[in-house]
Amino acid sequence: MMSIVIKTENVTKVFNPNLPNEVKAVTDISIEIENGEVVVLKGPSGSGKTTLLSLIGCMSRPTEGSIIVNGKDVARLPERFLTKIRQKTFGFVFQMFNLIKGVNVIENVMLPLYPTDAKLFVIKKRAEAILDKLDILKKRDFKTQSLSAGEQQRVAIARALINEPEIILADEPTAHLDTKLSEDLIKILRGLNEDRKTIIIATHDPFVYEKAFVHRIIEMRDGVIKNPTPQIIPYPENEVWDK
Amino acid sequence: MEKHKKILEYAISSILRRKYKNLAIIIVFSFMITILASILFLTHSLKMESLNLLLGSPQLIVQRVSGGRHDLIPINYIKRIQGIYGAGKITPRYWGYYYDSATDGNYTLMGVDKDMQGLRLLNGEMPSKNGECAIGKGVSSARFTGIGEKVYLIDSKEKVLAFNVVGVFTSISNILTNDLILLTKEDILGFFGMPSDKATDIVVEVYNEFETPFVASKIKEILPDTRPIMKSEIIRTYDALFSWRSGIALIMFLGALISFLILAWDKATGLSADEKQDIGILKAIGWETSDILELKFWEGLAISLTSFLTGLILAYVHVFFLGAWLFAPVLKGWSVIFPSFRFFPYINLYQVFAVLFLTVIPYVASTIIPSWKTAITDPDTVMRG
Repeated sequence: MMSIVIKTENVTKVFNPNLPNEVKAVTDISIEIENGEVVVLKGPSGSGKTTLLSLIGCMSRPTEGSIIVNGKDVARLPERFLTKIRQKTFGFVFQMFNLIKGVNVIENVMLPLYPTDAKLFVIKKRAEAILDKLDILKKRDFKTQSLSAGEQQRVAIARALINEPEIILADEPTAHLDTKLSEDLIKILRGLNEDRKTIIIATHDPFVYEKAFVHRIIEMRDGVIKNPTPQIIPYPENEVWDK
Repeated sequence: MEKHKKILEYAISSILRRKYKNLAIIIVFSFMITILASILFLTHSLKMESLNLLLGSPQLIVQRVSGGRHDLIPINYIKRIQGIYGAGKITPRYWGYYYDSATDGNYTLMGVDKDMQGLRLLNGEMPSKNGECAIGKGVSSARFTGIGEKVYLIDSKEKVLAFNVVGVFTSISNILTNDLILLTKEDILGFFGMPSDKATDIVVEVYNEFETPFVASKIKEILPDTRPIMKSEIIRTYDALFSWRSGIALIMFLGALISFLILAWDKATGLSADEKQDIGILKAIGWETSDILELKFWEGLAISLTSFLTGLILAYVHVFFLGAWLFAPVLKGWSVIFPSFRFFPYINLYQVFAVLFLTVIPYVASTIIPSWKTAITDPDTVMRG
């Protein structure tokens, strides 16, 4: 039986509360995500999927409700505990890649492990191995801004994997990729899922959510879950993947 | 340890990434520190020069005042002073200032005194015969002359006299000897046209320095037309004078310093969008607030310490090698010392630490505080801008 790794209970997030520009980004969200699942948060821009992803990833706190990560309610934890959870549990792949400009590829990948006691050469070896796996090792000394969007995305994925997280959070991962690169990305994500990583993807790209490796789609609109009973897609069934 | 090493390395690479911005800050910051440190170095050096000069000077100098003006003092005053309890050896001094139109310089001409303290020759010997002289390094340079050559001076009767240089004084920085020309007593009397029963002033040794005020007041009582000047008074006057001048220079500089601090504060407190984004990313990928603060601390420290050391070295060169050409006119003031001399490098560690605390710490603080404000914000909020 699979265990629940993420559980949200009546989560609401309000930006700028009690101000004229108050925005209710998500309202009363309750979901459960099991270990090893691939879940897509689907919805148009402004539907609240990125906010929900941030809340799950402990990058912001809910205004109301609770978020349970591996059995621990993180919604009210002090910042230093949230940082530890982010560092040990999650790997983030951002829509805009969010790589540090002016820093080369390998250093960007190594950054999450800098504030640890791991030796530099150990981190470097691990980063090289991941870059090699993602077929981007040859660009290790390039500055990230000189890379193509697909290459930057791979670097971002490598950075997300360096701390060996159990959950990968990807926000619109194909937004800046063409079909071929999107295909490559799906392959990478699928490979990670085969390594028993839980993957949560926020996207409105059918190219992603129509893929067979997705177990579940949670559709969002205007900050609420649109499909009260989230769609379950059996895996693997409707597509055979080339590895 | 490994963690801190990696954060430090990343801090240095971050500085290099924004090299043009940081270079501009270092240049401006170094310039400010150069000026501040120059003022302090120069003031301290002048004070120390004066102090050293005065340490070797007598406890008490007695001048005669006529109509409120310094006048020659009769030698027979010595006998009357000798009777005062506590007064030791009493010596008349023969000296005067000489304006040299050829070099546009003021020299001090002094009659030789074999008991003269604090004067050391670099080369040669002291004048022992009429027609001989020993000169300061400054006079030697200004007149392009040295041992075995001559110095030509015009006396009080408009006669050009040639003196053989037999010695050159040591230490180019020494205020006392730099502009000095030492002649025999007879030559000095003849040169200035002074009567042989009068001297420029009288030096009184006091056995117990704590009794100096008493001896001074006694002299004033016995010889009402005299002005006894105690060494402690001169030291206090010099100290106050240079402190005052330094204060004036610092006030002039204060405006610039405040402008810079406002600029630095504004620069540092207003993190750029890129810097905020970087902090948000680092937080998102697992850096703690304390890690961010450590990173920013190293960045701030590296920039401010580089500026501090650069500023300090430039100030040292400016004051002790280039003669503090930027401030010398303000700090030397009326005491026009010709020919120009070089300051002896006296450094007061207290002042160095004062500059360090006035510059490095505010800069590091102004770098850390805004970063801390950003670092304690949710990474999602920071990255959304």
